[in-house]
Amino acid sequence: MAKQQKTNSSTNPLNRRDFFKIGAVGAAAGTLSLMSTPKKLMAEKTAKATKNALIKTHNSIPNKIRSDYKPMHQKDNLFGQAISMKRPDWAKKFMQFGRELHDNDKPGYTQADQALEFGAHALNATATGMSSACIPDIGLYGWEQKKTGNPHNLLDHNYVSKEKYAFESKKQATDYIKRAARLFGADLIGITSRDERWDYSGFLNPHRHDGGKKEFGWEEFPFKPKSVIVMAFEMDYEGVAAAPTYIGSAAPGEGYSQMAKTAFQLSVFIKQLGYQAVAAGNDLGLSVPYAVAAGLGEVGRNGCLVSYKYGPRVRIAKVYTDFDFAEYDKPQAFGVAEFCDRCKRCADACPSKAISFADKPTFEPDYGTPDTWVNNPGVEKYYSNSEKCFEFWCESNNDCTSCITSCPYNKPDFWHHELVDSISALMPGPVHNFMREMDIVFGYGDTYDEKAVEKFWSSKDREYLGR
Amino acid sequence: MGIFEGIEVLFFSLGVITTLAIVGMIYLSKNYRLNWKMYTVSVIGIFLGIFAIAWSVSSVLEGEPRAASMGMVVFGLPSLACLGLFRRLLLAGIKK
Repeated sequence: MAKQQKTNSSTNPLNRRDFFKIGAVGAAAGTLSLMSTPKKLMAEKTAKATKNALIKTHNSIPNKIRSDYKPMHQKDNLFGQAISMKRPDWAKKFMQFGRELHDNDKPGYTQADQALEFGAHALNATATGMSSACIPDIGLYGWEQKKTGNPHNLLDHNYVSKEKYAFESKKQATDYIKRAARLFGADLIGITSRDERWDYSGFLNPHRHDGGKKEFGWEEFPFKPKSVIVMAFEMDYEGVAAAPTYIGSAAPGEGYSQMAKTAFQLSVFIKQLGYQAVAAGNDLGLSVPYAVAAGLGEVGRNGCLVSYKYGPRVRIAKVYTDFDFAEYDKPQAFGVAEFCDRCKRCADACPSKAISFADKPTFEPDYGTPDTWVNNPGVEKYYSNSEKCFEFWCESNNDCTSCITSCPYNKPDFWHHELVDSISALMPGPVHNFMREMDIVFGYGDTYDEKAVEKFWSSKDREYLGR
Repeated sequence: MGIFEGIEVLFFSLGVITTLAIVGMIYLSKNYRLNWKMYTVSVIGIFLGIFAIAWSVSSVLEGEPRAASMGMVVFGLPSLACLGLFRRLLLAGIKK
């Protein structure tokens, strides 16, 4: 009750002796803890324990799959229907995509902005052609398994070594593959078994020059794949923040180029271990379910992979190989599915309203009629209207990326976002609504943000000379 | 900053502020009779204040000024309210 100032001797102000006692106890405790466990290790252990508490491991991908689900032929996806001229109207629109068009008075659409986009995409476009439209067997994503290198190029080692490297254990093999992928530039790496459900049932490549059929199947693939190494590449946060503009397209463009470079290098690494390998981007199979199977994240409402570290701000590449002496990763879930059920920020932000507003995932698209669907039904998820999405790309002449920008899981790599994500994973549904609103109030995930364009190019707080 | 990055300076500063806050609480508990209400509001106030600084400085460092301002509003204001209430309770106790 009484909050009077203490006057007796036992309640004297902190005297020098007390101060030293507290200090000595603190110092001793600190020294002992530092001696027994290195600080870094302690922090790592804490971080690992936290993640283990939040991340649930599954034996198969968490999404339910209907018994009548069948893999899709590549010619039946939207790009395939445009390329095969099954839908000439789409082909016409597709031909307009990536056209030289700029407005120097419009931030994000100037010649410099478009030059950035073209530069970012350049390596992918030059080295893998139209692979981003799912067309297989092009350039660095080629299927050929050579037995010798080019005799005129001593540094060409893109061939399968005659000698097979003997790993001591599956763990060692897994560690080597993942370390090599990280060296080559992958941010996230998982390994899973080949799953025909996620592969295209057949292929279409209208640009085959070797006289082969334009439509072909897995029988033409040079080997029977046993494993798929899945890699994710972080896209530039500031670039994605500028969506939907040419700068917003430069971020995925750079991701595509990284995919081509890294997947090809990893395929050569595996070939030099004596095994067959083919690098792939969007071609051969569906990257998102493979990434989920390989433990890289969950599927979001926007149809993208939502990874633990980078959210949906990643691009995915794969390497198919006949090497199977590896430890396969398991799918992981950390609350994305539950969060997506309520959030719907991507659906709100989508300029073409292509993303579903359904309250729960479904086994079939919830728009139009089956004859208008371009999706492959049978997996429980949110189905986007690919046609609307594609039309916006062609009209706006850029990759959009708004659904990635607006996602609350898209954040820079800072401690406070990991904290919020962790709290979100532990909290029940209604809290997710609050989290979504706070995300908006705090100013994250805005699209059509001219300041983001200005910020992208600004040299403020940026050091280029490494000083 | 040169040698140290912004985030390192932030966490060093937070360490200093936390130490000062703990020493301050020990000083107050030695000099005044604090009840559970005072401990509760002061600890919440200090925690929210430190969190507001950590959040807002981190938001500035990641280039999100609006998140920094909102951090000050959402975490900083309740912190000030708690610390203000603590001061009031303390002064009321002293007057008695």
